[in-house]
Amino acid sequence: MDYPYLTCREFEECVERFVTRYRPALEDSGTRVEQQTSSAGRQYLVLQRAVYTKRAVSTPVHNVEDIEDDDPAGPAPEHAADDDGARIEYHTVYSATWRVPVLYVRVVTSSGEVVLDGERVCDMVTEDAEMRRAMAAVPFGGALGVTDHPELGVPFLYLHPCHTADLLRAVVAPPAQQEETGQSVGPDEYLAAWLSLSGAAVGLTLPSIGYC
Amino acid sequence: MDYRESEQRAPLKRVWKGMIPIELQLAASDAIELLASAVLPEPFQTFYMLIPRVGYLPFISGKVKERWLDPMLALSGSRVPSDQQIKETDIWFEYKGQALKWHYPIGLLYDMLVSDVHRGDAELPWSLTLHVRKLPTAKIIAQPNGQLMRDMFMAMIKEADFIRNGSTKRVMDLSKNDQMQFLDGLETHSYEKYFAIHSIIVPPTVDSRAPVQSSASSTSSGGQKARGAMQPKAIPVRFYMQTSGSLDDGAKDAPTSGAATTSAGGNGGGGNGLGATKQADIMQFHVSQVPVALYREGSSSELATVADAFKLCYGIADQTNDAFITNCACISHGVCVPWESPISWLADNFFYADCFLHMVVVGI
Repeated sequence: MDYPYLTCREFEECVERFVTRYRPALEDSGTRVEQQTSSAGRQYLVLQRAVYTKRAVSTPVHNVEDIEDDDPAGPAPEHAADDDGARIEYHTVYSATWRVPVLYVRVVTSSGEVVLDGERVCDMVTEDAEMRRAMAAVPFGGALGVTDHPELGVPFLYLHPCHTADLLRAVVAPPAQQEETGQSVGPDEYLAAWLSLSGAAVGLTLPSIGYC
Repeated sequence: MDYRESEQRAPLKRVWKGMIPIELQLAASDAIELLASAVLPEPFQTFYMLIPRVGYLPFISGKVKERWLDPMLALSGSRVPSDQQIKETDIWFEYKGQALKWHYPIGLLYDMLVSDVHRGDAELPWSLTLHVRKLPTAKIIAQPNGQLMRDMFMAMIKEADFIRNGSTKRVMDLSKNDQMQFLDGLETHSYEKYFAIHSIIVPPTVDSRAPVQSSASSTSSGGQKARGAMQPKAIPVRFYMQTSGSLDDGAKDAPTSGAATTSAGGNGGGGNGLGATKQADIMQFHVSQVPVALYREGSSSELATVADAFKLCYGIADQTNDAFITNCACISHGVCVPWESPISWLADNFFYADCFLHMVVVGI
C-alpha cells in the first residue's frame, strides 16, 4: 500500500475490514453502518445517526412533575430527550483524483428538509469552537464545500480533501502494529484513522474497540 | 503574439468564444404570481440571450433579472420593488422538465440534454424556462449565487491543479489580485483576463500541433514534449455517460464492465430511427472522473486517446473490447470528438474554464 494513498481496490478492502471491526461497536452506539454499491459497481460506506443538538432541546411538558431542574449553564443533555428527529449521514467515497477517501455529509431534518448549509451543519455537530473557526478560515468558502455526491448525483456537503493525505501521514500506529505490518497504518485501521481525522470536523467520533 | 503562436491558439480561442443562443420564457406559475397573468406583456414574452459555453448559469442570472425581469415588473406597475419580488438566489433554469445543474458549465448542459448534438442537428436557440420560485433542492444545489459559484469553481481548479501537478501549489500561490482577475475573466467571459492567469496555473506545453493519428505523430511529438516542456502528471477528465436506466437494451452489444453496459445502443439516442428521440434525463447520466496520463500505460511514445481514457475510467481491462466505439459518440463543446483523438491535444485546446475535459458519451 502506498500509504497514505489508496487504489480503488485497496479502498474497498479497507471498507470491508472497517465494517467487520467497527460495525458492532458503532451500531451499539446508535450509528447505522451500510456498505453501498453504486450502479457503476463502486463501493462506498454510509454511517447514519441521529443528530443530537448541542443546545438543550425544549421538551414538551406532559406532566408538571416531569420538569427537571432547568440549569441553562449546565451541559446540554447527552441525548436530548426529544431530539429533532434529524439524522446525519456520513458517506465515505473513494476519489480517483486525490487517491484517498472523501467524506460527504448531509443532515436531513425530521420534516425531510435536507440541510446543505455548511455553517448550519457545523453549528449542529461540530463541538469545538476552535475547529469551527479553523474550518471557516479555509480559502474558497471554508472546509465544507457543496457538490453532487459522485455516486448518487444529488447535492451533498463534503470536506475538501486537499489536506487529508498530509494529516494521515502524521498518524502513527502503535509500535506493535507497525512491527506486524511494516507500515504505519495498514488496511485494518486505515479507515478508522481517516474517519477519526475527518470525522472530528463534522461530529463523527468512533467508539474504541478492543484489539484481539 | 507571432503568427505561429496565434495559429496554435486558434482552436483554444474558438472553444473559449463558443456561445449558445438561448430563448427564455418565464414559468407560467411564476408569471401568475408576479403579474397575475400567465401571459406576459408583449415585449417580455420571450427573452433572448447569447451565453458562453464555458460559462455558468449563476453568472448570467443577474443579467437576466436586470434586462428582462426587472423592466417587466416595473412596466407591470407593481409597487413592490423588484428586489423583494425576485432574488437572484431563487432563479433556476429548466429544460423540458429538467432542472439544470447550475454548477455545470453551460456548454456541458447543452451537450448532455439536447438531442442530436452529435449529428450537428441540435435545437437552436436553446429553449429554456426560467423559474423564480420553488427551486427543487432535492435535485439542484440551493441558493445559486455568484460567490458560491466562484467557490465551487475554485475547488475544481484546485482539483485540476492537483491532477496535473501533484499538488495545489500553483493555485494556492496565486496572489489575491491574480485570483480576482481569473474569476473576473471567467465571469465577464474575457479571454485576455482569464488566460493571463490560466497560463500561470497551466504552463503551455510545447507540442500543440493538430491532432493527427497518434501512431504517426507519436515518436516525434514524444521527443518534442520531453524537451523542456512542462509535462503534466495526468489530465483531468470527466465522462458523462448517458444511461438508459435499463440494462435490457443493447446489452449484448456493449462492453461487459459496469456502467458501460448501459450506454451502448439501447438508450434514447435515437438509433432505431423509428420515432422521436427520448429526452435525456440529467439524473441518469453517470458521471465518472479519472486522471488520464498523456501516454498509454507502459509506453513513453504512444499518446493516450479518448478511447483509452474511457476504458480507464470504466475499468475496461480488455484492450480489444471496443464496442463502445461503434455504439457511442463522444461530445465536447458541441463537437463530436473522434475516439482516437489524443488526450494531449484535447488537454491543450478543449478544456473548459475549470481546466477539466468534460466529455459526454451518448448512444448513437
